[in-house]
Amino acid sequence: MRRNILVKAGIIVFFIVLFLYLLYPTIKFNYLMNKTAKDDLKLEDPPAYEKLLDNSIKLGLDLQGGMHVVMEVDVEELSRALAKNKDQRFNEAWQEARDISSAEDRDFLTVFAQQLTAKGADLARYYGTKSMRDQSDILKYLRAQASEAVNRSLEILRNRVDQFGVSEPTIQKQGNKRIIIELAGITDPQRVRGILGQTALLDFRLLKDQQITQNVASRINEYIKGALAEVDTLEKPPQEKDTSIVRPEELFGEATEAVVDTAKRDSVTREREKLFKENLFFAYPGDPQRLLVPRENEVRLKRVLQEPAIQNIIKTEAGDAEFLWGKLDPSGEYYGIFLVEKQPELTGETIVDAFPQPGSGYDPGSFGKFEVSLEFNDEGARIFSRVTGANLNKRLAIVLDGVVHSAPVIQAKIRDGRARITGLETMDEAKDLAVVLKAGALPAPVKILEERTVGPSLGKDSIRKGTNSALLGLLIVALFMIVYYKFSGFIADIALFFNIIIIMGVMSYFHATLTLPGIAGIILTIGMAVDANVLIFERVREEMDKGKTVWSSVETGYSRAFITILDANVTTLIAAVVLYNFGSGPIKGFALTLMIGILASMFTAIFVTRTIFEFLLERKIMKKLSI
Amino acid sequence: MRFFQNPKYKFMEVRKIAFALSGSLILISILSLLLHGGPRYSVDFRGGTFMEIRFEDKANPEQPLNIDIGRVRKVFEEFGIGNAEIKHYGSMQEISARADITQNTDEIFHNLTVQLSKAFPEYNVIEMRKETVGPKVGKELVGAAILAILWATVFILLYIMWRFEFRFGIGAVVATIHDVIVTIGIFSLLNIEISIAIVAALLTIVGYSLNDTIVVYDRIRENLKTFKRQAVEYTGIINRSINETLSRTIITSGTTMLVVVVLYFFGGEVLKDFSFALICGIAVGTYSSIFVASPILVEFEFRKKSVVKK
Repeated sequence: MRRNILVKAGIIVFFIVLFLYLLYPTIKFNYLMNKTAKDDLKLEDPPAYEKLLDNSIKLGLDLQGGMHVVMEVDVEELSRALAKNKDQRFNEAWQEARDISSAEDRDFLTVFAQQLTAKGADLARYYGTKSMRDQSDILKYLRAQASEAVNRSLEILRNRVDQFGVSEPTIQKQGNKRIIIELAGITDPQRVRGILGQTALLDFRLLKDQQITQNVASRINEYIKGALAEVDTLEKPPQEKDTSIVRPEELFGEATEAVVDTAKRDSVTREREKLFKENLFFAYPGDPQRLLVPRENEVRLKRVLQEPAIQNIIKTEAGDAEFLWGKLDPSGEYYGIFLVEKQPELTGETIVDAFPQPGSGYDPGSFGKFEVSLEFNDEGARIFSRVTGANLNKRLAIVLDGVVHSAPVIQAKIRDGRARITGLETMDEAKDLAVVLKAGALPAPVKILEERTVGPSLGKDSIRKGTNSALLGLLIVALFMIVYYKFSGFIADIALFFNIIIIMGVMSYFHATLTLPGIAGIILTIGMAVDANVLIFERVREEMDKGKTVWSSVETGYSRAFITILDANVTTLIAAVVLYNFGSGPIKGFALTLMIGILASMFTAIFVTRTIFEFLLERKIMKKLSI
Repeated sequence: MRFFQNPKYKFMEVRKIAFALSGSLILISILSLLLHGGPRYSVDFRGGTFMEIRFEDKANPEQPLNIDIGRVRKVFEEFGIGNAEIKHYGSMQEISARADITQNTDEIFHNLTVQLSKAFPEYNVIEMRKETVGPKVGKELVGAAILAILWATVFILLYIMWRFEFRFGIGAVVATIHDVIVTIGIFSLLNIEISIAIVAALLTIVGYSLNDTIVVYDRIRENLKTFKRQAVEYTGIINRSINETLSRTIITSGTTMLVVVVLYFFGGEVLKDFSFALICGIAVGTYSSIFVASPILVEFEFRKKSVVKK
């Protein structure tokens, strides 16, 4: 029996430690670090910062302010954009179909086909090709186009969100046609709207020669070395620190505050040291024109490249060129960075089509690999022919909204406007590239269905009020329990406190987002968590009224109340699960906290408080039950 | 400390009065809903734009202000949305507006605040919140919300039938539907909007009310087993069970109510309607587990007996 209790106590301690451990990043991030410490860590060790942020409970948009947007592909606009030979009948049918489908809540394309038939025309007249004349085939084609348009928008949006400087943007596909975007801390929704609404810019740009790229890289490395030495000499004689000296912080555009604090200057110096030590550029062994940048150097390097001195180096060494970033490599550790011409050779508007396919068997190099075929219009074909002819064996970067997605080598002069990008490792890679190539060619019209903006001041207000009322509610309930159940009430309060740690710990573990309804859920759980204990205590009192001993009253009380607690909580749990599945964002948060809360309260009430009672009674610490 | 020492209230004897009361509550709720043409949906369900704007004195931001809605409406009229519903929100220095617009709402919202700053030059005008929901999304949400409540009820009914008896399931579901209808009725009477948060609150009420009912039922189930062989009347067993669980019912409802009331007064405007729904729900739910769910069992018993007698 005694050993049994020790095991139980062990389990409880284990859980307390576990949940406190899970909760630690949140506590550290929100309470133990001030803003400068956070900024420093972000510069010093971005992966560690990200990890900390990842492991702590995130605040929902309603608590920190931000924007929530739901967009849907505009099938109507898309079908109009894809149609050829639009005439009066088409426009009428399109307009009617739009009115009918929105009024009667029906599928636009089906209605549209019907309207066209009613006017003596059919879809084939506007969308048909030699191989596609059947109405059902065309409908299938249009639906596939709509779903592709979603993928294109996703790609474009992912490319662009960087511009907002949001710490953790969420871009998700919902169903077939919808995209959810969540941008925390955004204060200017108009700007977001503008950027989201722009059409994507795809262009092709020549890479600078290997020799030039290498020169620029080594010159930049040298410059940073020199600049670092300068900082050292500046720092040694302290008396020289007067305002007439150009401080390194100013060089970095950091010294916005009148008083330069040492912590900040130190972090700038460290930043350079680290860059220097780790080398700014790694040349990729198999591909010297692609320089690799370790992921943790990303923020620093982006800032360094802005410096006028560096811009000068690029200008003198490479002429009218700039560094463009590539995507993160599959290992997730390095970014590619390319030195490309500023002037694009041609733009994506000239692309008619692009599709992925397996590599052809003719040429041994492409066998077993994948490729993307692309087709240009007449104008594009003409330019492409000239560009490929003049730049054989050079590399052409495919740039979407300023990000290099691929940089294939020009292997031959392409006259007919049909090119292939070969040697891709997986079909997914080929699919992604095809999506990118089409992004610049085809419109991906989207309309905004839902848009919620919460100002930052309201968010702060909500957090303060939410937390305050949670604490106040907790306090009142805890006091009541002690007044009503005396010492037993105190034990129930311990369980209640534990309960809250569990909820927050589990939320940390699942990287859940705390929303205002989520706080409400926690508050409600506080109310309901005491219920299990009330049930038990009332039962114990009843048993004692019958004249049973303390030990047997506690035992009977717990075992009888268990059935009640189980049935009562399972029903609430069912409601919470249904709520979770039906709900959108904030409601999901509420349901989640409620679910965790119910499970946690069952654990604490049935297991934790019981163990405490058994322990106290067995050790004879408590002889009479204070209840 | 103990609130109810061996209570012996005869709850079942007043069940006819309780039925009359519940019946009229539901009747009033339905009448109110009919008169108002259904529940008053928020922009979540109806589509449209909700805006929240705060005014602060430029010199002294802490100073409470009293914003004249008429002056605000004049500015709204310039944008062709003079018919928007504009009212004070939370305090006299904050306003909320609901307008039937879904296009270019950022631009309108932004320009509105600019114009408002011109109309109230002595104040700072702060954009607090803007929510735009397209009519399509709204329609989908209504469907999803109704489905959610139906599914929750079905699953819970099945669970109770499995754990108890058929009549318990019916009693619990009738009591729950009673609570939801009365809460919606109160909202309709007070002209409060039903938003997504309120639907969440309604589902919580479903869970809470059932929780309460189950505790009473559980005791009835236990007592029915104990007194099966003794000639104790069915109503007596039910009265006894309710009395035995009475102090628990009151304490749990009381503590939960305390917490929700705190939330209502200190949780801020955004949670106000949500916590109000919970306050109504907890009150009605506690009442219904004693006066609706339990008497239904008695009625079942009497019907069964009268059938046997024939």
